[in-house]
Amino acid sequence: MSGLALARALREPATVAKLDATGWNALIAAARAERLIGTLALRVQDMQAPQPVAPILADARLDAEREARQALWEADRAAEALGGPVLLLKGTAYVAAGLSAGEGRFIGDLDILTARETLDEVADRLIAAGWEWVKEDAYDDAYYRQWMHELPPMIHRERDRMIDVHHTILPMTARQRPDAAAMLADAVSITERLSVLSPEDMVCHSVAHLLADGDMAGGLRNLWDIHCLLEKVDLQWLAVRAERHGIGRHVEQAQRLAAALYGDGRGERLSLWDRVVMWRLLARDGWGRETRKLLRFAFYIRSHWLRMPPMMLARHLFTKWRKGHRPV
Amino acid sequence: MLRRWVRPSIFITGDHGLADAAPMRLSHGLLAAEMGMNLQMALGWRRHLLLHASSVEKDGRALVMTGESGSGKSTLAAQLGERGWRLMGDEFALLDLATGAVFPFPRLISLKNGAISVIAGEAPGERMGPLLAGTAKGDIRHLVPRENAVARMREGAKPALLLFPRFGHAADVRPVGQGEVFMRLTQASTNYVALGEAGFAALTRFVQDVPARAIDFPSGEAAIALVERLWEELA
Repeated sequence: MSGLALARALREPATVAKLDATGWNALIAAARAERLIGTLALRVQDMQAPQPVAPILADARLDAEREARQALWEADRAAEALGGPVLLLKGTAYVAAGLSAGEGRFIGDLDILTARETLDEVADRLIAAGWEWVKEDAYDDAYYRQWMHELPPMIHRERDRMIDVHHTILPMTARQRPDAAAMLADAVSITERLSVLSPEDMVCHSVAHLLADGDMAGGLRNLWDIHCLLEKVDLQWLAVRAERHGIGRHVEQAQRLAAALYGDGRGERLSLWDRVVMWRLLARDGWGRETRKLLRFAFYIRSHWLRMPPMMLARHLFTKWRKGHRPV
Repeated sequence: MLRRWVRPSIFITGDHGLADAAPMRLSHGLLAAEMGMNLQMALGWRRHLLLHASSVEKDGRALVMTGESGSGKSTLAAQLGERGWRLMGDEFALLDLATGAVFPFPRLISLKNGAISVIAGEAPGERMGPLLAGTAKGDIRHLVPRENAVARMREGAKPALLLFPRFGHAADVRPVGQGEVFMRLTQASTNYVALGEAGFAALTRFVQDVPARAIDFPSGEAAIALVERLWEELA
């Protein structure tokens, strides 16, 4: 099971010295599949990697460096376009704030948070600066605007990079209603034009995505983020904050899982549900391919269940099915 | 399950994180493998600047040829590979970011349509693969390169001449300015943008150091004579 090997290598990098060729193969494949190869490459010292592996890790470190540079440039461009402070989320925020969660991290899109009432103005300014809507589908567009926590994705026509403009952190239809206004109010400035969430809100945001939303695809990386972010928080304040966002239970679970997989809490008492989630997070074979199809599918169904009430879900799935969408 | 019997297909995709490839007929599996390899290299490789180009080597120096599909760069490389040059690759030339050397990426040479009969007349039959008729890219037959191509696959070479071949025109040689060479090579590179500054530096160096010509030719024989002459004069 390569997911477990990856968690172990991140937790105790020195243990990779014992790996044979098959072990390295599985570790690298899982790290690539979970988009943790850059993080792994920074944790593992070159001395511990055999000759054929060392260049792969060196490539990953260089890639992560370029990734970070590009992400910061995108953040800068967005700040320029919006003419004011931009609140960064996720990977770009971790890198911009110099957090350990940002070291070697894969960064896909630029994610920013803004107050809901400013959305139209933000979209107009981005369009004026060269971003365009990705989807030209009336249903998707209307769906995003009515129910989602973000605008439909936009892409820059010259730089080919995407931006996600969030106005809160979970879909409007989700059972939990995190307090986005409080997050915005407590944001921390890191430069004149860029800010990030408070350490506690960062954890809440990451946990909300991992455990109260989505189907846990890429969950090992999210949990690694959480593990790193937890180093910086005031645990009592985190509990207060999590309650305020309605995800107290989820934050507690994330703390248990992070300790069990990446921390020194392997003796942590895990509930049955914790174990099911962990089983899902680690479902990869020796080539990094997904396993446990049924379990994955169950989590996929759950992600929709969490996101919207049953009748709405039925209507949504029917519309998507008619358009030819099939879950994998 | 039904697929195994009704219309057997093959699905080859790149490493995690790359775009998916479309499934193909099982009988075209060799082409699917080739395309999977190309996809993986084109989008996944970052250690070198990748040029969509063929290359051959003589005396430690490399001739690099780039052009659109159908320009004749693969065929020309295959022919030179049968005539005393070491074939380095027919699809990608790997430009080292630090030293500026070109590294080989030898594998089966993918011959298309008219090129098949040209090469079949020169190379021994046991090095020719099966004919894949009617693929998305037309008829295809693969050629196994000569032994030295693979035996020396770790050995790079200093780039000494860049050609932009064009098959099917009256013989002609034209100089190409450095600005145009640079622009054409950025288009021929699959990872130039991803590499950022390192890619820019490597490409600038290549463009400044390596003489370049555009060549037109009506036939393979004419092309080889032209290439040998330019190599004597410029490289």
